[in-house]
Order: sequence, then C-alpha cells, then structure tokens
Amino acid sequence: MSLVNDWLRVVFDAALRPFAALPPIVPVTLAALVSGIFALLVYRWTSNQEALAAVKRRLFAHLLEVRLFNDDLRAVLAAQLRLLRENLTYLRLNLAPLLWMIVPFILLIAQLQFHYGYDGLEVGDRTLLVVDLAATDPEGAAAVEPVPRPAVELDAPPGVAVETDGVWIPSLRQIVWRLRAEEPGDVELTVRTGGVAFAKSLFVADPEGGARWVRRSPTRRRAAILDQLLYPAEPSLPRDGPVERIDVQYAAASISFFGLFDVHWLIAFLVLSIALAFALRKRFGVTL
Amino acid sequence: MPPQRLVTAALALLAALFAAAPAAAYIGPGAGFALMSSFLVLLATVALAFVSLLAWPVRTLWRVVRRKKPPKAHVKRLVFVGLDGQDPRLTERMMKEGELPNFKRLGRQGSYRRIASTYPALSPVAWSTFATGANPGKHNIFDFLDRDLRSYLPKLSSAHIGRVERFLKLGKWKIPLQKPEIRLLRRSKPFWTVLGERNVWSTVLRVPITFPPDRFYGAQLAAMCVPDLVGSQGTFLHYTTRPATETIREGGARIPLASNGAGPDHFDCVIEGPENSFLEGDPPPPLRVPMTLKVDRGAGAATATVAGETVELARGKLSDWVRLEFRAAPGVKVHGLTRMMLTEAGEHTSLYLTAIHIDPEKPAMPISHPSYYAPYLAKRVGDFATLGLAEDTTALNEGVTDDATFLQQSYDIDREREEMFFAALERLRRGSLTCVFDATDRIQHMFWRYMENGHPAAAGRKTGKHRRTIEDHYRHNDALVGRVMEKLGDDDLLIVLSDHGFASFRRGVNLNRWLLDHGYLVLREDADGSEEWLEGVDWSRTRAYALGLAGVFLNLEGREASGIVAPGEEARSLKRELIAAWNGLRDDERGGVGINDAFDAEDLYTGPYKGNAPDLIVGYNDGYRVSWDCAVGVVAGPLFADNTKAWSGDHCVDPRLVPGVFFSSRPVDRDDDLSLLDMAPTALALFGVDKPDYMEGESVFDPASLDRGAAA
Repeated sequence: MSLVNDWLRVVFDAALRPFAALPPIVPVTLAALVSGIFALLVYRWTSNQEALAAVKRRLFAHLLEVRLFNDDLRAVLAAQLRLLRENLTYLRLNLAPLLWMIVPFILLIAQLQFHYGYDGLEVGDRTLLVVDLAATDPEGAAAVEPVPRPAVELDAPPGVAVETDGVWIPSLRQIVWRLRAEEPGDVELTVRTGGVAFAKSLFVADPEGGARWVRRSPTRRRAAILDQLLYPAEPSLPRDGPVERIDVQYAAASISFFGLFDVHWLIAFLVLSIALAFALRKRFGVTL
Repeated sequence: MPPQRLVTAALALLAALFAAAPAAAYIGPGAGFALMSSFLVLLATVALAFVSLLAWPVRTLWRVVRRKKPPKAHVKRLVFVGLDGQDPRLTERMMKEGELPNFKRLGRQGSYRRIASTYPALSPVAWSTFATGANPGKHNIFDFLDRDLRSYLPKLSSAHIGRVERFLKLGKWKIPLQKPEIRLLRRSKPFWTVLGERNVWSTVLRVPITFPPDRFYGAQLAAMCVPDLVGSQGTFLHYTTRPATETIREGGARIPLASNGAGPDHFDCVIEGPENSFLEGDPPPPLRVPMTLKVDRGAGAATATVAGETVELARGKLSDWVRLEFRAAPGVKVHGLTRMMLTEAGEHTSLYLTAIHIDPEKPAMPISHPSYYAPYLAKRVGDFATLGLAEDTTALNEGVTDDATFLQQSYDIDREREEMFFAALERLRRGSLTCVFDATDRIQHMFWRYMENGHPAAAGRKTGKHRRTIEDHYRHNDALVGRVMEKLGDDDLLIVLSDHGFASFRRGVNLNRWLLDHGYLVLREDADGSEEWLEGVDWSRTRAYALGLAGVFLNLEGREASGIVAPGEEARSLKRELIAAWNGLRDDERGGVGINDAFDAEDLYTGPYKGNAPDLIVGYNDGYRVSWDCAVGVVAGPLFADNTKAWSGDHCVDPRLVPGVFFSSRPVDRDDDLSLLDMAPTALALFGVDKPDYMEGESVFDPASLDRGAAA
C-alpha cells in the first residue's frame, strides 16, 4: 500500500502542479470530468444496462400511474408501493458498478483532499504540532502511577518558530508544541524520540507566490491499511515505532465555485462529476 | 433475490461502511447517480403520496359535484375485445372443427351471435357506430376519405389537421405562436364519454377514429388515422441502388443510394422527417437525420449508423424500433420511431424503413388522453407502433417487403397491443376497457389469396406455406380470448366482437369507367383518364363520380363547386337510374355478378350529417370490390379487372355479406338480430346509465337478468 501511495503522490503532484497557481475549481472540474467519464465506462462495463433501463422505465411508469389514477386512492397507494420496490431494485442494480468504483475513487478523493481540502499556514499564523506516542505498557495496569514525560524533541527549520515547550498530556500520551510560521516554504519538522527521527511536513503559503494549491498533509500516521488508504499524503510511520501519529492543524479550505460562492472542494467535485456524467451519458451510450 | 446477488449486496454494504469517513463517504459519481436518482424517486413518491392523500377527499367531492352521482352498475368491469375483421363463417367452421376451444367455451357460457356491420362495412365507419351507438348520419364518418367540395380532391374523413398561421420571426427562425388545430370530425359522444360523465372510468386502446383523442374520464390511446411523423397515413422509405424503373404508387418513397467514396459498400443518406416549421419556405425544408450504411455483402448484413447510434441489420430481418431525433431549432426536437430491414445485399443494396411513427414516449402530436398516457404505456410495455394503420400493407403491395416481413410486423404489433391491453386490464378495478386488435384484419387483407384456389393475386406463387396463415391467426385470437377469460371474475363481463367479416377480392370494379362509358362522367379533351384523383374530369359536364372505397357522389349543384345536378327530383332521378343500372351488374368476362345492390344514402342514414355522405353506397358481391384505380380517382382502364395485388381479401362489399362476430360471457337477452348500434347502449346499460337520445340501438342484456345471474 505504501508503494502505491508513493507512486500516487508522485503522479498526483505532477498532474496537479500545472494547476497550482490557478483557481482550484479548474483542476477540480477537470478531475470531475475524468471521474465522470470513468464512472460512465465502469457503468457500461459492469452494470446490467438493460435491467437498469427497464427499472427506470418502470419507475417512471409508476410515477405516471399515480397521476393517472389519482381518483383511486387504492391504485395510488399500490403504485407507490411499486415505486418503492422498484427503487430498491434500482439501488441493487447500482451496487455492482459502485463496488468497482469504491477503491479508485477513495484513492482519488484522498489525494485531492490533501491538495484542496486544507488552507496552508500563512506567515504569522500559529498552529499546534501534536505527537501521539505509542503506549509502552500494553496491559495498562500502571495507570495509577504518574507517567513520566518521555524524551521527545522537536527540531524546527528556519522560518518556523517553536513558541512553547512541548506540553505533555499523560492521559492521551500526547506532546503538543505551538508553532508560528515566519517564512513561506514547504519545510520539514523533525521529531526525535528513542534515538529515532520522524519527519513531518509543514506548508507555509507565500502570499506573493503563485503556487498556492499544492499537497499539504495535516497528519502522518502508522502503516495501518485504512490509514494508508485515507491519509496517503506522507509516508506512513513505522508500525512498531514509538510514534503513532503526528498532526499539524490546518484550517479547512473552501474553493470558489466559478465565482458564485465558496464551497468545500468535495461538494464541487460531487456536483460537477454527476452533472458532467449525466451530460455525457448519451454520448457514451450509458443508462444511469 | 438469488444468493450471489445477496452476497454482492452484502459485500458492497460492508465495503461502503468500511470506507466511511467524512472525506471518503462520497465514492464518486456512481454513488451520486444511485443516491440522487433514488432519492428523487423517493422524494417524488412521498410527495405524491402526501398530495394524493390530501387531495383525495377534495377530488372526490369535486367529482360528485361536477359529475352526476355514480349509477348502480350491474357489472364491475366491462371488457370489449375488438378483433377487427374476424369473419363469422371462418370462425364458425373452425369452432365446429374444434380449432377454437376458447371461443366455443365463451359462446357456450354466454352467447355467440353474428352482428350486423354498417353501410359501408368499413372499420372507421363501423367502429364509430360501435362507439356512439349511432348510424353514420349522426357520427359523420362514411369512409376513410372524403372529398374537398371546392377542389374535388380527397381529404381525410376523420380528422382535420390545420396549419400554424401566426409566427414570431427571429432571424432565420419562425417561432410558432399557436398550436396547429387538430380536430376530430367524428360526431356524437362515444359511450366512454357518457360513462365518464357519470364517474365511470374507461380505458380505450386503439379503437379506430380516436385521433385526436376524446377528452373524458378515462384514458385513451388513439388509433386509425393517427398520421406518421411526416403527416401521411404511412409512408415507408426504400433506399436502393437499383435504378428507378417505376414509381412507388402508394404509401412509399424510393430514395437512391450512392456510395460515399469510402468504398462501394459505404453509403451516406438522410432520413427525412416532417417539415421544419421553424424555418421559412413554401413548403419549409424537411428535418433530416443523417444515416450511414456499411454493407457486408458476404455476410448479408449491414450496419446503419443514425445520429451516432448503430443498428446491426441482417438481410430479411426487421430491426427493433430505432429512435430518430430530428432537431428543428435550438432546444426543439421531434422524436420518431422506425424499424429497418436490409432487403438486398448482393449486386444491389436496398434498405427498407417503416413509416416514421410518432414516438409514444415523446409524442409530437396528441395521440393519447391524457397526454401522458402514451408515455406511460411506453414506459410500461416498451416502444410501440403509433401509426393508425401500422402494419405496412403498402410495402408488401409494392413488393418492397415480403410475406414473412409483413407477418412479423403484424405479429409484433399484435404483441405490443396485447401487452398494453393486459397492463390496462391489470389496473382496471371498475369501469370499462375497450381494445381493438387489428392484425386479423390486416392478415386477412394480405393472405386471403393463399386461402382459396385460383386467386389472381396468388398466380405463380406457392400457396402452401401461407394457406393456413389466417387460420393460425384465428387460433392465436382464440388463445388471447382464453387468457382474457382467465383474468376476469364473476362480476366482470367480456364481449369479443368484430366490426365486419371478410370476403375475397378477386376482381376490381372501376365505376368511374362505367360512368365515363355511359356519359355520366366526361373527361376534358386534354385528358385520357389516367390521371389520379379525377384530375382530368370536366366537371361542367359530369353528373356523378366515384371516390373512396364505397361511395359514389353526384356532382350536386350548390354543394360541389362545379355541380350541375339540381338537388331534388333531378338528383333523385339520377340516383334511381344508377341504382337500376348497377343492381346485379354482371362481369361478363367471369360470368359473375359484380354488384349486388347499390343503396341510396337517403334510405340508409338519418341524422344531421347525412348530407356529408356519398349519395350512393355500392354493395359489391363477394369476390368484387372497388378497383385500385377507381379508389384513387382514375377513370381509364377496364370496368372489371383482376386484382393481382397482395391485398387480396376485403370487406368493402355488400354489408349483408360480411357481418361480424359477437361473443359475450353472459347470455344475451334478445332474440332479434344484433347490430354494432347496440354496443354503446349495452355498455351504458351495464353501468346503469340511460342512453342518450341519439343512440339508436338497444342493450343486448337485461340488467335485471344480469343481477339475477350475479346473485345466483
């Protein structure tokens, strides 16, 4: 999985870099177009198109039936029951293509989320760096004993000021530092513990610079399957290492929807991918 | 649900749950399609349920106030199954031979009788009488065709389709500011309208002369006289590389095919639709859809590409319905349906397209009531033929298609009809359902030549293969009747009937020729009589003319634009003269009688529209009919001639020779002769509704005996 993520990072960084200086709705629209076409192809190849067309015809027929026999309450209710039954059939027929689409779309959305889902820090902004340490006592029996602060150090590169000492929260096994961005750049923080160093990326946007929409990672986690699937923006932490995760808090980003309003990129992607796929379905000869 | 589908569903559900996280809850457009569509349907369902429940008491109250109180019905459901043209002689023989067990059972359980048709025994006339309970003098339908009194040219007798006169001009576009007037010319209310006024629902499927559809409490799909998309009564298209040796005379267009330069097997052509009324021109240019045809001569196959859609064609095999979308203006499309068949793929290439039917899902004209009933049926049973005379008899007559293709087309249309009939029957809880099946009529028209020896239309043909085609279809009808009987309960009543029977059509009679020979019709000096639609007639010296299938008109002063026969005694005297001459008119060449009797319309009809009737109705003998030439107003040619067209059986003869059949699931309470006039009063009586004054027949059932029967 980590190899896949390494490869995907390279591919997506390269593919999205030309759009880094453009309004994010541009790459999101392109991604929605590609996704819509992909979804159409998946539907064409994996769904029972004839059955889908048939069930849609029946659905419309029952809707018209409600109108046609609107003087006959029993007929109306019967038509509504048929509508519900056909609706379930329609959902069932959608399951096969959905199964085929789950993994590619999770991979795609996870990558896009780390490009367009977070606002980078700007010079002068403050944020917290949170390091979750692994439990040392698997039994947890010594909870009544005070837990001493582990030896964990943070190295910050020039341009990032560490404003506080690391605050140890024993109950969560977390150490938290407050950082302040002083210079723009894509830098690496280093957390050291037990003689091992762990890097964590930090992005500080340049207000004068153009390439604002690049990959930023709010979290780096251990190599569990689900975490690797959902948080692929940085290489995973070692599975049996002393650190479970390292988080940097970025604010959630909104993108401008063609200058009309601001919206989370995922909503824009959802609307556009559906709209584009619907618009192209006849050209691809696909029933949705 | 099969087990593997359950497993698939469970896996999908698990996968979705497993992957659930705020950012990944949306798994792409696929989920969007499914959820959106499903959600919208659910939303619509809930909204409709809510509105229905809320509106139901109001609607019920409104119905009670607006319409009259529901009558006391003697049946729950009345089902009319119309088998157009089912002949009593053939039916009775086959029942006797045990070939029609369901008809026999129905007759034994209830009644079987012959039923008198109308004068003339033509479907539009007969079914109009069936619907209104009135003679043609009251419902105004006397034939398929009528004539324009100013020009003597033919016009459709049942519907008037007007033109749009008011437009808004925007550059090259003309935006219509009104809809064209489409008016049904049938008069008197059909029984379903009368029933609707008393809150009794009716579903009416493909009963002739229902275009444009009636507006009443119920649903209706229009039939005979529904035009195709180009406005004709059915124009097939024949694309061919063959040089044109003769023109197609009836109902078709020959279109030359030329290779497009990509190779000898590649052809570009267009399918022409209706006129584009959004553009200037007199007439405006037609709408077009490009089509390319790629032929594989070795395989006897071709691929037709129509607006991006590909249709695989095999020689001699009709395609499924193909959708055609004509773009008239930005955002304005006209939708049609056609079926294709590759008829040649050797030295020459030929492609046959049926007439372009109005697409029932997106009808360009009013073909149903309510307007969404045709789309509803299309959604329920799939695409179906909408053209009035949907079975392409003309292509077979012209030799463009063959017997097998025609049969396939007829059977397919019959199957479509059955599906919509049973779909309607399934939804009908109380009220009436009427459906007319046309295949019996069309198959008898085209295959009668194989059933009897020595028919001139079968000369040189092997008759064995299709000798029993008509009987096979009667057996098919028998099975249909059996299935209908199974669906009905004790409170329901089934009537199976035909509008007329059938006779042979071996010899054509050209009465215009007779009129010419005897000085009643005179040609202009520059005409030789071969002109269609009486174009060469000198109206200033002509006293009578024949047009259409059964009628002869006097050139009446004050009625026809150039009439010379004075109304009154002169007209009566002329009619007497003609009747005397034609009664028993002999065919000396064959030694038979061509005409049994000619009837004076004055004696046949009553009512306000009898003045629109032909002045004389000709009762041809069995084996005879108006000739093809005479029907289209050609004067030249012999008086009697062999009929060599595939259309070899007919019913346009003396109506006494071609009564219809009448079966009912309960015994008839009358001993006298039954008539189509009796059907509408019967339908009303069964639902406890008094018949209006204009209805002439009587119910064939005594409601009291029905109630006793039901109680027993």
